[in-house]
Amino acid sequence: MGLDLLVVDDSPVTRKMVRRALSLCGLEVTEVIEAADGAEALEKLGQRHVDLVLADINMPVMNGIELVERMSRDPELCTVPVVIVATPMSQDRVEFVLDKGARAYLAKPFRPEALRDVVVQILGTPGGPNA
Amino acid sequence: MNLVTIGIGGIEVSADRGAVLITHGLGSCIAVIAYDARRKIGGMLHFQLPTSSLSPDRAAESPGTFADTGIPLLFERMYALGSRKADIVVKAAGGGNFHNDNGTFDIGRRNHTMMRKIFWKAQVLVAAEDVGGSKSRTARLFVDTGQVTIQSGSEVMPL
Amino acid sequence: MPEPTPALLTDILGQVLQESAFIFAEPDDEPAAWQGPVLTARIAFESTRGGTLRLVTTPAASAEIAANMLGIDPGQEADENGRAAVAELLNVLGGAFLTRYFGTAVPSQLGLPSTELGDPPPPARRRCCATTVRLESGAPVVMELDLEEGR
Repeated sequence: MGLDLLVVDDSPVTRKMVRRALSLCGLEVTEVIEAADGAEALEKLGQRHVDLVLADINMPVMNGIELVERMSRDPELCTVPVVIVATPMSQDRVEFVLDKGARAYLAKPFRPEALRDVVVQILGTPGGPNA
Repeated sequence: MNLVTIGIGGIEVSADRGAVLITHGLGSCIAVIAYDARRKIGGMLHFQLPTSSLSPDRAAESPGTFADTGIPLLFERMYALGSRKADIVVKAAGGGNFHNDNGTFDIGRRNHTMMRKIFWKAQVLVAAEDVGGSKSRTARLFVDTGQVTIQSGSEVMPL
Repeated sequence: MPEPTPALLTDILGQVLQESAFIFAEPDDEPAAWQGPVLTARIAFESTRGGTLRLVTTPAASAEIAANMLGIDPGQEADENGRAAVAELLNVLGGAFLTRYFGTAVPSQLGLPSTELGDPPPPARRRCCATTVRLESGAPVVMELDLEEGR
């Protein structure tokens, strides 16, 4: 059984890039679902299980920090790991996001192998060569 | 041990389990190392320049000189030995930055950027790399194990 | 804190174009001579000083940037994603500028990027500095910084 992943970013280009990078990671992925903001992400998380969320911070409607906070307060969603994929930011903001419940922070622009390393570290899934 | 030396602009592939592919003097040049662990097929390219567009004659004569002609040819030669893209793991070394009087002309970084662009477009992950800095490197690929080592001075590190 | 310089913007723009879009752009002292509509992207920021960053380029250049970021050939998909690609590029530029200029120890915040296609914009009111680079295709990309007075 493969992984179901949720990519949350208001940029359709970033969502495509993350999707593409995930396809290179050697993971067995069943589905990559997309959301354009935190509110849409919560809606989709309410409909089905995902194994990992990759989320930007700066988004309209609901940003990534609020998404992480809401998920950490939810008895079911608090077990779903969130990786923040966002522009470089101040150290206090990185720490703040991790304190709120994010499992890791990956700065944009990210390299596919860096994404792979973070995802494998969190999910404990062995990587492999190219998809 | 069968030592196969790759020079600047060279491409070699091997399914000989006793072979060690080696290339020296990686300054701003980049070695692309490809390995298929399933079939024990290894390949190495030592390219010098990022694009062939300004030198089509030279590219025709020595496609391995350029990233955009050398990398596809490396893979074609791997396929010719029976390898498949999904099974090839890519690593890279080199792309050093050395003093140049023309400060805006940084071949090492351009080589690295072009290599990344090609692999991103081809949907191939660069599994590991040792690039940049200002050291000269020697890269080795041991075909029986797939082990890659990068030597700089007397220091030898696995990649 | 010294004032930002065109050289800083050139360095940041060059680095982000390389790392995000695999593009080597060359600085150009000549101002961009726009012909036809341009794509303008803006993003506001707040730190010890607030301001706005702006990117101006051609639709063709935005498609080139999109194609590289997405790893696809030039064509319809790249054309359709050009605007979003430039917006995201500016988003990454914003983060890079904040950390390079203000540092990572200072709290900073980026707004959301906006884009519009139309006539070349007039120079920003408080334009602090600007840089022009040319993509490999020769298309210009102009980055401008509008920075509030120091507090």
